[in-house]
Amino acid sequence: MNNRVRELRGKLGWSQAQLGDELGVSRQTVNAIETGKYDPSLPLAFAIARLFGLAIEQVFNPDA
Amino acid sequence: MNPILRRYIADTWMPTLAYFACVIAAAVLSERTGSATLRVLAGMLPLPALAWMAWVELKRLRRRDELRQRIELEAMTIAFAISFGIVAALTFIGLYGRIELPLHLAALVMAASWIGAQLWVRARYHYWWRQEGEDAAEEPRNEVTPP
Repeated sequence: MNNRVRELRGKLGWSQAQLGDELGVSRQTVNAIETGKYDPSLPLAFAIARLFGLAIEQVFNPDA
Repeated sequence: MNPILRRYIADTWMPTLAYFACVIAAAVLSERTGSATLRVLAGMLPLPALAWMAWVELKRLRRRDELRQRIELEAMTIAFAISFGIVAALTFIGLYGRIELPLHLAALVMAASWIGAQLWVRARYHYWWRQEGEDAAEEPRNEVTPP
C-alpha cells in the first residue's frame, strides 16, 4: 500500500518525531509507515488523514 | 534512571518478588515433605506467580504503540515455530536415538529462538533497543486532535 505521509509531513515541515508525537506513536512507527514497511491500523490511518485534513483515500492508496 | 527501565521495574517488581518467594518456598517445602504428591504440589507453587508475570507482560504489551506490538507478536510467533520444531526434533532424537537430553535444553532453545527472532524482526523494521529511549509509547495515548 502506497501513502503520501512523507510528502504531507514535509509540507508541514515536521520531523518524524513531531508527527509521531501528534499521532501518539513512536518515531519508528512513522518511519516504518513512510517507507512502506508497515501498514498502519485503521484508527491510526484515520488519525493520520484527519491530522492532514484529508480523506483517508487521499493519503493511502491500497491499489499501489 | 532510564524512564523505560524505571517503568519496567515499577510494573514487574511485585510478581518477580512473588515468583522468587514461591520458588524458595517450593524448595523448602519439597525438602521437608516425604510425600510424592505434596512434593509435586510444592513444585507447582510458583505457577500462579508465573501467570501473574505473564499477565503484567501482556498489559505492558497492550500499552505499547502498534509497531512495537507488531514486532513483539511477530517475534513471538517466529520464536514459537522455531523452538517447537527444534524441541520436537530433539524429543524424537531422545526417543529413538537413545541419547539422554536434559530437560533444561528446551528452555535454552526457546530463549535462543526468541533472541534470534527479535533480532530478525527488529532488523526488518529498523527498530533497535537503543532507539527505545526515543519511543514515547510507554504511556497511554491522548485523543489525536488536528492542528
